[in-house]
Amino acid sequence: MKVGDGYPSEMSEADRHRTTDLDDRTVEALLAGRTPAGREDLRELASALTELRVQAQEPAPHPNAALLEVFAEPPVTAVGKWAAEGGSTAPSPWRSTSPRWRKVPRMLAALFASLVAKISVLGMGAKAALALTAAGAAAGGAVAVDLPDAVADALGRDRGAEQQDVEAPDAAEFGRGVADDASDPNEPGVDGPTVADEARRRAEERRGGDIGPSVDDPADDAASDGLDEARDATDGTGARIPDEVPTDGASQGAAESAPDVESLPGSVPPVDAPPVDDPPTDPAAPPPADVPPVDPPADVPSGPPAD
Amino acid sequence: MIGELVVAARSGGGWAFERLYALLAPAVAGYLRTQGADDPEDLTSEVFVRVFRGIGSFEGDGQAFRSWVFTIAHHRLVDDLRRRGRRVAARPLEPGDDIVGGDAEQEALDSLAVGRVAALLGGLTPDQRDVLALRVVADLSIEETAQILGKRPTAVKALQRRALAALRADFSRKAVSP
Repeated sequence: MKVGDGYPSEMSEADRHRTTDLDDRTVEALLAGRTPAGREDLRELASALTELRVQAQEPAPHPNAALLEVFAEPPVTAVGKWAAEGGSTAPSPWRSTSPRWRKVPRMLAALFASLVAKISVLGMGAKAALALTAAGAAAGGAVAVDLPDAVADALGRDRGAEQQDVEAPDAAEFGRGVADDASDPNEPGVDGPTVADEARRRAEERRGGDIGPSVDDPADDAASDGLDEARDATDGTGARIPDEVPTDGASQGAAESAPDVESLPGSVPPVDAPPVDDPPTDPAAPPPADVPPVDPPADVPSGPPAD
Repeated sequence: MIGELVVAARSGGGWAFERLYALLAPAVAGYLRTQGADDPEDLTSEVFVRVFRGIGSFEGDGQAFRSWVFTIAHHRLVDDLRRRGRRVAARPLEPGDDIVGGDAEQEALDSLAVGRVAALLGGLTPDQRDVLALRVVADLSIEETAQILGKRPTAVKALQRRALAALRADFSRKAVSP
């Protein structure tokens, strides 16, 4: 090969001429299967390239077994996975509106986990009492939370000054609103800040200098009924039933309860609600490290079950 | 058209996979056939299995998708040829060659056409053959062809010009000595 001209040394002068007289326009016409105007000498070449192009127009070959399998079960892409659940190819509206909805279920899950931890250290009788208490409180439209002795005592001591009364029907209505919000197909999820703000507003409305439990609180009544039933059910078993069951409206949630719990004695770890302005995380991902695990207090009796 | 089908396929539309195959498989099979693949039909299926399994990572329009499909086809072809330890065995058909795989007249004609094309490309270098197949059969641009082959566009232009000149010289020689 000659250095410099880029052509093989064995290429004849005629061949070089055939190469150099093919300008870009002529080449493109030939590749498209057309005979360039005034170049009848290239007709055969154009015809041959047309025959080559026809190769791409044969019917599609029959798919083999592996491809048929793909047709039968198309691979699920990241986009397709979401779309298959009823969405479209447009970006998820969940992400575009508010990622904070993810925080509320996570907060509730953290609170639920702490409750489970507490319940797990109780005896059978106490568990039965707790179940009945919860059932009674639920009938009254509120959620009752049983706490270990130390916590219950602390709460009992300060309850008159600390506990916020929330009328059960109002709380239930607010809770339903939250539930509806969460299950709204047009805007899935709960807007955490909105819920917290609303709960705080309602609590402050109720506070207004009127501190102490409401005598007419249906949730309190229901909880007391539940305790009475629990005592009847566990009579003679040796199970210890708390004297009082602190009740709390569902709407108080973490936003309202967190500052109250912080004022408790040092043996009770504060229940911090996770900040709602964290960056969005995968719903399938584990809870963030900033949610402290709520362990049962050290002074909770952990002896053998009462039964 | 292809772009819309790609969007549908990425969204989980199983029907879109079959439409994409129907649209692009003939060209892919033609490309593999003219390049001397051992079993172009089966290799075409293998190409599309890879395409569809990786479609979630693809981003681009219909033409980019077409180019991407031929990139995968070219890589599979190279693997196939390397596995067999040889490049395309294109040569002019001889009178005694058994080119008819069945009794159907159409099948015989198809085989003859394949033989003519194989003979046509048989005198080219592998690079020239790659360029002509991608430019003519796959109908890709100079830039797309250059990207698939890992060459500069100017190199692709030079290769296609020399390929055409070589074919033209071959026709001239045959015309002189029938």
